[in-house]
Amino acid sequence: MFIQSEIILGFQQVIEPMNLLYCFFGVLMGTLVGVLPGIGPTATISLLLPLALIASPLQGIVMLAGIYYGAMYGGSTTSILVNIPGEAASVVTCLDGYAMARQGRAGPALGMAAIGSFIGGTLSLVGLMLLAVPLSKVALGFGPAEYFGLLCIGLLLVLYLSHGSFSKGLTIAVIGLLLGCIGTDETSGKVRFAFGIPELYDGLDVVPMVVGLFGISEVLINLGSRDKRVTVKTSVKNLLPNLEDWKRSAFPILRGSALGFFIGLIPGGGTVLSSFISYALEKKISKHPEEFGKGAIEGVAGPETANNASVGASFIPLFGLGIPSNVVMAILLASLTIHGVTPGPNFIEKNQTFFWAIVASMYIGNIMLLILNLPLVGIWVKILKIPYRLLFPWILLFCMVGAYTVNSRVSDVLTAITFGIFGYLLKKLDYESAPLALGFVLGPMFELSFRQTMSISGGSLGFFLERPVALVAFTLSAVVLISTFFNGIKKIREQVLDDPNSS
Amino acid sequence: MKRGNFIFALSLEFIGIFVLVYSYKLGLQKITNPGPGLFPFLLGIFLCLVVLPALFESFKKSTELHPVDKTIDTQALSPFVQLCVVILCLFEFFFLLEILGFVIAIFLFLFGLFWVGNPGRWVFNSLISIGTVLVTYLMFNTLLQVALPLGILK
Amino acid sequence: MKETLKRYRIVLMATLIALFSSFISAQEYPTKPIEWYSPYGTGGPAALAMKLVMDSAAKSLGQPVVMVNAPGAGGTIASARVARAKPDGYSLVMASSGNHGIAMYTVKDLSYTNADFEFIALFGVLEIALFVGPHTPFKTLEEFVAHAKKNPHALKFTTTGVGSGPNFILESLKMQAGGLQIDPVVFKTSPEQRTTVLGGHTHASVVYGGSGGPGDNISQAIEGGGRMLAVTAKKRLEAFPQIPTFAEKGYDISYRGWYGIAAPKGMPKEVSKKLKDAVYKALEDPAVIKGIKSMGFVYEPMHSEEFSKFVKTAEAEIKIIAEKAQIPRE
Repeated sequence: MFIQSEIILGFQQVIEPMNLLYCFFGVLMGTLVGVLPGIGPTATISLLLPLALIASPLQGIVMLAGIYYGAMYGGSTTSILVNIPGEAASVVTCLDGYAMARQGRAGPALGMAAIGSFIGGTLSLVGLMLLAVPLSKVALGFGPAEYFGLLCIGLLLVLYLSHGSFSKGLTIAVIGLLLGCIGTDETSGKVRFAFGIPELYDGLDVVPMVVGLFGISEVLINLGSRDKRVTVKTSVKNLLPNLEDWKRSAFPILRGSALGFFIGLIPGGGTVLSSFISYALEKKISKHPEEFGKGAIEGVAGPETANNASVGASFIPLFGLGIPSNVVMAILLASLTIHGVTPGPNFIEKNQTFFWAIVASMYIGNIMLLILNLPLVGIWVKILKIPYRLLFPWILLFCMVGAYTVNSRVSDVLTAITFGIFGYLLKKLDYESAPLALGFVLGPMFELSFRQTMSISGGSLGFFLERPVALVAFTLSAVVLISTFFNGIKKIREQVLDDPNSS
Repeated sequence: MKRGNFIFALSLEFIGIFVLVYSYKLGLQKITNPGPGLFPFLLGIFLCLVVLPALFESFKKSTELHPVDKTIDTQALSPFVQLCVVILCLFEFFFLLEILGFVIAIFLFLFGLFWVGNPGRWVFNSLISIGTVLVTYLMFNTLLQVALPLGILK
Repeated sequence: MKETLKRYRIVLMATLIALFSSFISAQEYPTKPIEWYSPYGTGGPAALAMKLVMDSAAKSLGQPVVMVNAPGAGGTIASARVARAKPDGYSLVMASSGNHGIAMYTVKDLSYTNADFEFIALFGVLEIALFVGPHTPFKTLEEFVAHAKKNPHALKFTTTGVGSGPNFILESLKMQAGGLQIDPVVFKTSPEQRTTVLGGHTHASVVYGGSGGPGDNISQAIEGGGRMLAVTAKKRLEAFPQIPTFAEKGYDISYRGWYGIAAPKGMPKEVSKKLKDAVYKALEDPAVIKGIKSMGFVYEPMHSEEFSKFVKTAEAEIKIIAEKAQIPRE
């Protein structure tokens, strides 16, 4: 089915200087966009839509794809350096990435994130090449029941994120789920938990929330306590991952690629889910799970690989079904459309040269990003050396402006501040904040897909059992649930009945 | 921190009960045809249950002590004061951003924050603050074309 | 005595200067970037189409035009902000059948009405076609309705929410066919509307389109195996002559998606004229027309007066449907 000459032609097209330039510009902008929280969609579009329209379809696509990838790379930078996730998918990287930075190992963390991202991105492109056509047909059959099954697993895996007290992690997760209920319930049209405040009618926005919960709270903790949490002991030698790091990261990277690719097929939610599931997986099968949250490099390598891998996979619903996974993809779609190239089940077959050219450009984009990001590691680490009393105002400014620019609303700034203070309290009380973000993101999807399935099946719970994929997902969920349950009960008993040292 | 934990856990219990009542009023219907209140209702129940271990634990005495590291930066201000001023600055930004515009809001914001870290160095703090405002302006208004509120500069 | 005179003179000077400068700034409009608020996100076809129009208008206005992302509450947040803004020609909003039509009757305590706005121009219309999936046996609207009558609650229809356009169409159909029982299933985005039907998860839904251009969702749905049963246009669409209209079938379903530009009421005449001229010019730019059509819009531009009248009629029609179908206010 794939004509070899077409593949070669596609690659040749991309090597042209102008096309490469667009690719480079895209990845550069993307990295910038990824590093700055909240900037994402609006700035990107304002700047780039005109360019994408003037340029040839190929150049436009190449540039926009570059942005998307670049943003994934860039998002991990701030997560590691200053505990500010650029979006929900980067939250997981904060957990161990920032811990590593605090131990003076920002270099290896950033380096491994870049390399893992590169491998994940590249491998998922291979998957895209080989599996795009059959998979786009399968994606159509993926309905709410299947989605629900997958979310079950995802939600249960939230519990594996808690490395402290089990019940506390659970509590935070439930709070996150409840926060996700704020806003208009689409199915019934009723507004929940808004208490008459118009800004809450659509619920809270995740970016201001995580920026506050992780970024601002970290600054508050540093200032509000006598012991300093940021160490400054980096030396040039420590800029790259060492052999031990490589050994530990190798398999997580491979697993992350596969995981990210398959989960990334799910439109909308692919990147977030894949990074969380990768983290939980690595923690579960690690020989030293207690290190997670304190600077385990697998906790950076796996999720970063996974979320870049999910990017490649998300092109399948885009080309095959016309479903964009986020704003950048939507613009990509629009600019394709304006140029007369439309997505659909036969997209790839009808536009082979074009498709291969895009794939080729994504490979090259990934390479460019790796080359861009690795030297930058040195610069980022130097920034960390600035005394904290000078650095933290900029960090806070970053957070605040970022929160504002998402939707051009001050209420988002208030959200960030509120969650910043809340995150500070949580840390003081020995709770952790990551499960909140995941619960918040997954909760509404979980509820919605359940209700959709109920609507479709006419209220029959047995419907779930009729769908093979959902059934598999449920069996897995049940296994995870039962083992978590028993584990959890054990931990809670220890916590309540015995000494405090056991949590 | 035990008392803090207790207050927090208790507050969560109350929130859980509130959620229960609120969701019930929204309408639960059946599990096979969920109403808007069903999911939050179940979450409310779950929350009340899951906070209990923390509630009980915070009753017990604790002999834990926070390890105290040597500070790297000498601090002229106590951590508590630092924290309060920072939070004040955060709120300042929120309140003034759209009223006075980003130039003034950011300048005040930064000035306050730099003052926390470098008390007494007025000139230095002012210069950095102004410089950052300029860079921000260039980056956002010119490079990224993202609109920051102009406030009184309109 | 001298003091008071001096004071009067100062006041007089100040007043004159103020008048003069506002006159000047009106003459020189625009002197700074113009912002327009996008109610439905920044990546969708409507936002991008309006961006094409506004960027082209920017050329004749001589100042950059910046899109501001202001989503939420069915598009009403953006409109609410602009309704409150100074009518100086620097704040605009996308006015569509959603935030200036349906929202009037589905949103509780809406802070604005259409009377608060000056409507500049309409740039595109989307006709709405009802379609069924390839897994269903229906080939005509009659078959669909008959099946629904005989099997209540058997058919599932994808909508994007209780106050959404698709739901309006569904409710209108149900009412006029004599009370059908078709169940709505809510999915959040329009690609999902298509794919759930094409994938066989639900039986029917609507697609917005009509231009026949590459971005036309109607073409995409057809390509995916969907069957169009009827369309809301008054006459059969040029691009899709095979689709019968609801009118032909005896239904009076007039709701369509329309998209235009609005500004707060009360702009100075010179500002208003300059703005309108720039926009009208942009609407005749072939590149803009091509772009709009390729997003799927039917290109039926309207200038300010016509658009204002159109909005009034559209609002009245929506009112009837909303009341009859008893769609609740939230």
